[in-house]
Parts: sequence; structure tokens; C-alpha cells
Amino acid sequence: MRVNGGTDMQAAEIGGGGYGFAGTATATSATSLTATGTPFVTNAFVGQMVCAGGAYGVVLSNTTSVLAVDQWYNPASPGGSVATTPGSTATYVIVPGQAPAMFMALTTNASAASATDTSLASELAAAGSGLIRKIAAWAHTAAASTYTMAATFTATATDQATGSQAVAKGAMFNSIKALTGIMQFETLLNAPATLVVTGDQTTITQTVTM
Amino acid sequence: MPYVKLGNPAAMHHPEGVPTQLAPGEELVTLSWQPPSYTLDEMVHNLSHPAEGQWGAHSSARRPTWVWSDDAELAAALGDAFGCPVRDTDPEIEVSA
Repeated sequence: MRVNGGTDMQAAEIGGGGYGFAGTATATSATSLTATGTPFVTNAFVGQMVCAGGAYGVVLSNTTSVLAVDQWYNPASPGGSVATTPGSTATYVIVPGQAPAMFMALTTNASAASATDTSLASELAAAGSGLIRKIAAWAHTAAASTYTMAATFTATATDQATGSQAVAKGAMFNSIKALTGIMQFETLLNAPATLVVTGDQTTITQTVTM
Repeated sequence: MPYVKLGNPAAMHHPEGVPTQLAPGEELVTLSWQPPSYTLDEMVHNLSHPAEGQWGAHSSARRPTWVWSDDAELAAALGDAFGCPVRDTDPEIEVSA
């Protein structure tokens, strides 16, 4: 199910609903970039990508001068290690549109998906778990009206110590950080996927019709 | 980021949620980006798992007619998993996505 926030995201993503901006930072951190002066409209850039120093971040919120990002990503491997924080006076570009919803999250909560949901109830987020949010693989056939996002999750010793996990629902977000970002899709699995011991694996494929 | 192309002899899509064949009789190309943060096994599983993999959502054929990737190890592993040759697109077929 595409939730309401996901509908808004797609409208901006494809139609370019968020215009961009370019400037020079005066300060940066692992989760922020401060502009020169106060050039922004509050929260005008939520969901957009800001690029600086060879990395990019997804804007979670912004004041008139500060962009709050979830983290800095390496564009060649957004699902990998966090990128180096851009320099404090880096030039930056806020890109039109929206960051893609390419991160899949899981939960054992089996309640029905709702269009008004903005987060995934009881999202699996324990440190060391193999079931925490991760980047999904994209696939599309030329001229098809659908694409797929797939993620393979492998249970770890942390999951085994927790006990049997019956994964019931998945969701797609625009941020890799658990409990963060805009949720685009929320879907009950056809049947729960139960992982018990280290190495148990499940692949979840979400088919999206455009 | 590993880029994969698969020859698709029986492409499917799901307009309004209904599985529908796309371009009957034609071979299309299915494109995929696989995250480099995944292990080789996870990438192969993503695409080729018979019940859970992406291929089944894109085709009614059991396997692609061919597979190619800029990651040679991934291409070979997919060729083994699917049981299809590893080669590039037929130059007569246009690719668009």
C-alpha cells in the first residue's frame, strides 16, 4: 500500500515539486549543514537530497539556515558505510525532487497497513540484528508499468538470541536510519517469514505499479 | 554499484495489480541495480530465488535467455543460478528504462 506520505513524495519526486538551491556552507556535522545567512523557507526541503563534498544527505527538516540530514551517504554505495562529513565550508547543492525510497524496513507487527501511517510500528531496529533497515535492489523491465524492490535479510547471532522472529510486514523509506524518514509503502507479507537461527534468510520483493 | 541486464523472453508487469504479459513474442531487457553492500549470495538470492526473487515478478519464463553484469563474478554466479549463458545484449535490441 502506498501511504499518504508516499503519495506526496511521488508527486514531488516525479513532478519536481521541490526546486533546488546552491550555496556555500558555514558549518557541517554528521547530521547537518549550515548555510550562509538565512536563505531557506522552514521545512521547504524536507525529503530532498543535499550534495556536498562528494556525499549526499536526505533532508529530514530545515530551519531558515540549517539543513538537518539523516546521515551522509556515499552515492556509489548508499547502503554501505557512512560517508565522510563534508568540509565546514563546502559548496552544496540541494537537488530538485525527492530522495528515492530505496530502503526496506521490517516488523513483526501484523496489523493491517493504513494510508495514514507515517512510521512502521515496532520496526526491527536492534543493533547487531540482520533484520534492520537496509537498502533494496531495484529492477525494471523496459516499458513495464511496474518495478520491484528486493532485500535479502540474514539472521545473526543477535537475532538467534532474541528468539524466533516472524516477520509480518515490510515498508519502504527514503532513509537508511531506523525509525527515520518518509515512509512511501507499507505492505503485509503474503505469509509471515520466520527466522530462528543464525544464517536463516528471507528475501522480500515489493512489486510497485506506477 | 553492480548493474545487471537480463534477457527477458516473457516479460510481465502488473497494471492495476493484474499480472499481464508485456510485448508477447518479443525479448525485452530487464535491468537491475544490486547494492554493493550486499554479499554475492544475497545479490544472487535477490534476483534468482524461485519463490522470493525479483525475476519471478518480471517474467513468466523460468530463466532469462542471458545475463550480463559489470561485475563479472556476479554475472557468473547469476548464470550458474539461473542456468543461462553470460553475455551482453543483442545489439539489435534497444534498451530503455
